[in-house]
Amino acid sequence: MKIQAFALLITTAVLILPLSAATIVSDSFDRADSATLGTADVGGAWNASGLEISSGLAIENDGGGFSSASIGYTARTLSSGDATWGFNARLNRTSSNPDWGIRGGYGWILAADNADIYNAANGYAIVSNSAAVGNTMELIYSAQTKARGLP
Amino acid sequence: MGNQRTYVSARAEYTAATNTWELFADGSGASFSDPLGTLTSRGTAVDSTYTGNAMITSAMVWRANATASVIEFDNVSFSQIPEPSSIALMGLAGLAIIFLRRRR
Repeated sequence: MKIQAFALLITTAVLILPLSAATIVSDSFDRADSATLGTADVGGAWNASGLEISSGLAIENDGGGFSSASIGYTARTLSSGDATWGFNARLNRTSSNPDWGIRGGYGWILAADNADIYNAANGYAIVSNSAAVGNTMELIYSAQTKARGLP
Repeated sequence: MGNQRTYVSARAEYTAATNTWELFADGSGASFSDPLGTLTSRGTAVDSTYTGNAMITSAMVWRANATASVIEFDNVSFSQIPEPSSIALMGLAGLAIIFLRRRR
């Protein structure tokens, strides 16, 4: 009977534990102003409307001033479980139009398989889109491309 | 540009069973929203090109050159709900066999 109870306990643990959401990254950057910014600011309309998965991680180090902040984590495959990413971004201009080549832009590489995100990584990202297709956000995957997908 | 600002909140969801991706995003232009709260869906797509790769890093990338911009990130989160592994299922089967044997 004891063995049966132990087996039941182990079985329950084995089944329940993997189903719990594991938080891999959770960082507010301790920005105390995140809750109060905005009420007195002038902001432009944002017409985000797109989702596109296409080849070409539209971020590269072209020497033109790209910067990045990496958040490393224990290796994991996305296919091993449902995943959710979330973030806020603030730009000090009235449009989210990235205008990468002139005024800047941004993206979040959600998951990459190599620490060299500019030249060797494959993975998925959300990027602010190009002026050519409007002020949109895109969900994209990379193909180790160095192409600047965003003008 | 002064203090003009645009606020963008975005979320991506990946469903492993169907390799479905969904992007949510809103930009009120006035304040942040909860990235994990109610945001407008911008569409779905199916892709598994790299979902089997061992992912080791995440990164915020930006470019703010001389004439522009301050770009700030906040409230970043990433969570994953692991699927019950095949090993766990095998373990369950083994335990069930032991249980049944002892019952007999």
